[in-house]
Amino acid sequence: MTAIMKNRKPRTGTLRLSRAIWQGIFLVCLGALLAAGVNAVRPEGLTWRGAWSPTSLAASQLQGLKEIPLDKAWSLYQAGKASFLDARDPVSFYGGHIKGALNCPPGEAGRYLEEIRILALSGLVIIAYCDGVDCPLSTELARSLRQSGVASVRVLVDGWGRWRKAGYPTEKGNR
Amino acid sequence: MMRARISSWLASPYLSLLFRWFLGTIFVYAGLVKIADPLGFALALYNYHILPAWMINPLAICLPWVEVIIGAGLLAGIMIPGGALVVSGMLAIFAVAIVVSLIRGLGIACGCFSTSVAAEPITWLYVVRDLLLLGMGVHILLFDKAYASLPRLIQTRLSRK
Repeated sequence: MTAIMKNRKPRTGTLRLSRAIWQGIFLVCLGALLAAGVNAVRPEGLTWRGAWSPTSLAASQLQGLKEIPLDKAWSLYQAGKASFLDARDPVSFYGGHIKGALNCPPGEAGRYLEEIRILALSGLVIIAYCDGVDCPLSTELARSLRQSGVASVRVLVDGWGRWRKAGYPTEKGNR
Repeated sequence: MMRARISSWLASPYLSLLFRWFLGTIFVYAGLVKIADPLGFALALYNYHILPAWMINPLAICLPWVEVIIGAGLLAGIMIPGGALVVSGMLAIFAVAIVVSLIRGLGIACGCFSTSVAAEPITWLYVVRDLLLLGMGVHILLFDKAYASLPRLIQTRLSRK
């Protein structure tokens, strides 16, 4: 009797697992089929082969926004005619940022909007930056500011990395 | 005595039913959020820098629908073992991806319940949350008795007639 019980348990377990695997395969296939069908008919559907390289991503993220070259940003900085917005998270900002930059992640654009508007109205060029060619935070911030009426905002692509490599002034801590 | 009571409570199919409804709701919600913004989810996947480029779009297209189908299945009690197995597998993979990203120091958004890249960056708490959900998935796989499941309700109705 004990032997039968011993034999039975693993069999039930194996059966349950085998059933789970087949059901799992079926559910995944069903989800994928449904996904393919909906993706084919919806206007904002994705292509199956996307171009996910850092440069193509930066180009696609910049759509409709104005980029500023590093040398131009540097000359504006030297002339005191630019205000830099660091779109990264506060921890990264604390670790180091462009000297004089304001930490403004895209989610907090509303909080600093009045201050940024005044800076733009006073003739300063507003430059948003983050870290990495494919970092989307600066473009997201720039887009949000532009929608709120700060039309002159520019994006310094891979701003933090390029600024640091060029040896331009940086600082640590909060602001 | 106390130990036996605790272990019987832990292995309770009612607890499993609770986990099923909880995971089902979470997966349906997570899937719908991603379906609404496929490009945002693709970007969230890309930011992990784990997947090869050719896998990002197919995964961004299919994964949210798989989440919705499985979530709905768990809620309705349809194909529970299969749903629980896939949910557990997915959560284990998500946990590994988050751990790898944390070790590499990537301050990226999770892309779990929001497709915004500006969402709060991942922390070790995300790993803990994932492992808790994984525990629920495994519990369903091991102890679920298909209580309050649609097929069983239909079967009961039919047999009454």
